[in-house]
Amino acid sequence: MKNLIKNIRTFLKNQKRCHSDPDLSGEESRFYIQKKETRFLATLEMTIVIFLFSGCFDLDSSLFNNDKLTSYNLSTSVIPESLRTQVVLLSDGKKIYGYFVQSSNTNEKNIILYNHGNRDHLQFYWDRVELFYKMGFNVFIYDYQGYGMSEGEPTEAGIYSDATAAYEYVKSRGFGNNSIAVYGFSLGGAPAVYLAANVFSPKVLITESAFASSSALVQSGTLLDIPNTYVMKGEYNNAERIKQVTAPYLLLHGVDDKFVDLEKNGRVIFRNANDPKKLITVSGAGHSDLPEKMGELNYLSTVKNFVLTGQ
Amino acid sequence: MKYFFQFLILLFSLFSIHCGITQPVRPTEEGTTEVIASLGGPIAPVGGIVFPIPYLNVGAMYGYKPNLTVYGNAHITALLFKDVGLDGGFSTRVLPEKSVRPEITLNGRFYFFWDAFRGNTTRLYPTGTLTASYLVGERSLIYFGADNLYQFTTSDLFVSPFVGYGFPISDGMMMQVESKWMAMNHDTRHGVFEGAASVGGKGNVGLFFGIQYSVK
Repeated sequence: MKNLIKNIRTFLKNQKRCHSDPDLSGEESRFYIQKKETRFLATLEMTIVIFLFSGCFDLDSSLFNNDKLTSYNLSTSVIPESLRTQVVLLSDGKKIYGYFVQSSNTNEKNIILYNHGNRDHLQFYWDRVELFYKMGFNVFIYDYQGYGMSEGEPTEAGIYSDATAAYEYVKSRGFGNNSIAVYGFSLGGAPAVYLAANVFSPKVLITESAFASSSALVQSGTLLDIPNTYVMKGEYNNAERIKQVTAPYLLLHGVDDKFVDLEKNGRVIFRNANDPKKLITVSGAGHSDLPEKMGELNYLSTVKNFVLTGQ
Repeated sequence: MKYFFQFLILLFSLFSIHCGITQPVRPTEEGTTEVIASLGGPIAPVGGIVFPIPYLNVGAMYGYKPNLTVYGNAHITALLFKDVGLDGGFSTRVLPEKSVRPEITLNGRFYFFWDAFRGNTTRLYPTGTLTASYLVGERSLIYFGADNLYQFTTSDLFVSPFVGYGFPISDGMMMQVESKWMAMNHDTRHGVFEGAASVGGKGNVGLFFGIQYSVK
């Protein structure tokens, strides 16, 4: 082993001499090759140093695909403009934007508080709002910090704060806890479960394509038992938090979801959930096309019935 | 799901099964020290382009005895995430090359990971590798074999066959190119790489480049 250390020292010493003394080898061709090798190794060393001192990363921000907007351009083909209201809320001192959609039935008492996925802003998910509107419910959708027109940058703590602000708004419009259905899609499952576990007990909780935790995501990605803390700060631990939820729970998940695997995510959350609970798995559905694969009419009636009856 | 997809690819590249090229293919000369580096990982589509995700290891190997080489690597990419990633092991010749019989080399290695600044957890994965190699010309090597990585917590074995080619690019420097079917015995049908680099829904294919530079 002494030889190993000695050899490395000699190598580093020779490398320095190569840089400073071009006549070192005495043979131009050999020196040329040696110089190229030395340059390569110097570049390699430099790359390592840059890696080491360029700061450290995590993958939390990779979860968010938060395109920003200066204004929303929402379709009016299903929901007339007169029935929607843009709302500005404060979350962690940041302005976040949302839309309240009034049911076409003025006597409707129930509202869906919709927590959207990681991709894009509420405008991208407007078709989901239209589905809930078709069910006859009032709807509230909002953008997390950093999404759409909302200020700030998305974080795990931030989306929980945003969801709480959204709930406070819905409550301020006169909706009681027993008329608020919380719905979370994909990433939105985290704030939805958070609300139902930590903030209030809603009429029902529904998650669609939600992941169990960041650990489950990491282990799905690596195949190894690498803990989430190796690459992320966020926990997003829906699988643990669901244990505190007492509201009726509906879990929707596509059997062919390649991003958030049903077995390692949906089924894990469902196992940990309290009764009453209902699991609907949809063959052929991927991560984001569950309503279409389920059939729109079937999806509408299933969700509507669960919101109204909890079954 | 653009970013979500890239997120999962990044995860896989960070801690992909057998995160490096096969080094050494054969035990090195006694008393010789070589600086080694490996770059590469699973082949994955990012931004519409399919290429191997760069996972960088650097280290050294030393010919401790004529038939025994010891080595160690630091996982530079893991360091970016404040994770300590190290591996070390030995390589020994089981059978020398003779006529049509390739040289058979046994390689034992431990991978060690430690997220020192977040969860403070450690992971250790023992790996055994059998490599068959043929000398081509004076210094080039064609080789093939299989890595076998064991995961204690789930009692899982991850088998990864590979094929590679090593060739000199100067007196003291060798280059290697290797393709590996990582975790071929594990289902990735619903995983990140289906349709990209999995084979029949199993594992995923990776591409690695390696450099060996003789210090002595």
